[in-house]
Amino acid sequence: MTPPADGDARDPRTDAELVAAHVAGDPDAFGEVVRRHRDRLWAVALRTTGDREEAADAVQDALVSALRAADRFRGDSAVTTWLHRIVVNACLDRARRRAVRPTRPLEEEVGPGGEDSRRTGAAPAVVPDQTPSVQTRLDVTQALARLPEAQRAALVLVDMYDVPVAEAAEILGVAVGTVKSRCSRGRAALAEVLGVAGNR
Amino acid sequence: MSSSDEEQDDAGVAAFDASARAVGDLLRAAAAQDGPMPADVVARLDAALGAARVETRVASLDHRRRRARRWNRVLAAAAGVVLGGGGYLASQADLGGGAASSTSAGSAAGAPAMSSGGVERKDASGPVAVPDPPVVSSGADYGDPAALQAGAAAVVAASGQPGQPGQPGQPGQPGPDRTLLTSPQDAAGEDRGDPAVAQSLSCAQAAGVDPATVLGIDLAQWRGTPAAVVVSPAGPGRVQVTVLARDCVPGEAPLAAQAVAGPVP
Repeated sequence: MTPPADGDARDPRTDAELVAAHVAGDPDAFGEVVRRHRDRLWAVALRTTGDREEAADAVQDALVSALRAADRFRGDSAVTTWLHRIVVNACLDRARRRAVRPTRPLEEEVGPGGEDSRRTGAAPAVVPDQTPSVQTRLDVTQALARLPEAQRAALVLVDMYDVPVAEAAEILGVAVGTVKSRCSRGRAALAEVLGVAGNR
Repeated sequence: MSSSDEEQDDAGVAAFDASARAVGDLLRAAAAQDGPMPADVVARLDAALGAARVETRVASLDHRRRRARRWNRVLAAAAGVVLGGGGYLASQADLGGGAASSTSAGSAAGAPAMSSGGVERKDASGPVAVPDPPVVSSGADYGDPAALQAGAAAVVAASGQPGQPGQPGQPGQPGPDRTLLTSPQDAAGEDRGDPAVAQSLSCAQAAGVDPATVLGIDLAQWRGTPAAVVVSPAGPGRVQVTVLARDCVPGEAPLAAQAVAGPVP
């Protein structure tokens, strides 16, 4: 039997149909779901953990877990919401574990936040760059790393990736009001750290 | 509260809103610069998902195997009831005497061979309902194309020597205990009645193999999973090797399938 050609043709099935096909034994269906969403999941994980290796581990653990537990996906929410929930939970679990046993690479600089910057893991080492966009990205990354992980996760979903508040609440497993308050407090903290004008 | 205080509060709220919007803009700008998942992470993820898929499949197969065993027990019990009833009827016919007695007894004796494995077998009184390829049981654990090629050659060789054991010492033969269990001329073999054989033929047919052309089946393993290796012709000097889970479901993809060089009798 010849395996199907792995061309660029996009699978016309919906995410939910692909998950159902995976459960029914289609060996390629889950891979297609992953291909569709991995970049976004990766970005969310990277922003939530603030660490490339942690993000890679979290995404891997989460998607393997999703593959194994796909038969329990009931379709009550969108597949993307389900995948984001698993990935974000994996990121938060890792952040909590790191908070219990904080580690810091010897070469890494400790930012002005000192202990605070290590609360959810070491902030990425910063190499100053003259390009404004790169500088902005580094500043934001550093600033995000200083937030408590719950606030950071809410901000990453809602403000960075435009996930609706209701969906973010579903992903994070909290009430809509909780997401709003976390975002609000997170923005205030970021404004202070980033020195954004207009902060009172 | 004076109007001056209210103005100060309003200004504070407006400033707060402005800073929140500015932070939101910064976050969105940062997100817009995010790239795709790096290639090394993609490769690592694909490998992990591939491994998990295999584990999940093996677990699923175990589950189905247990279910099949339960179902086989039910079938065996049902067959026992049918045979018991048949025997009773035969004994009643004997009591009545006459020429019917020998015919009835013969039918009762033949019944187990027809029902024990759920596959209708070739016998003196009936036609072959399903193809009867030679079945060997090597117990080999195949895992790569070279081993499959050697295994296919051994199956083909065995099919040319009906009723004889295979040659364990042959070069490249993966299983030291390869034993020819059945052949087209050997209707007494036990594994022909194995539901796995009929199931494998059904699955092979669904995978595009003509059961009538099957040269032989090796009850073996594929990377640790109990499997049936179905060998069929694939043109001059080549045979098609289709590896199927023993408890496969027709329509399910084979564990492996490839054409290899091999003698076609």
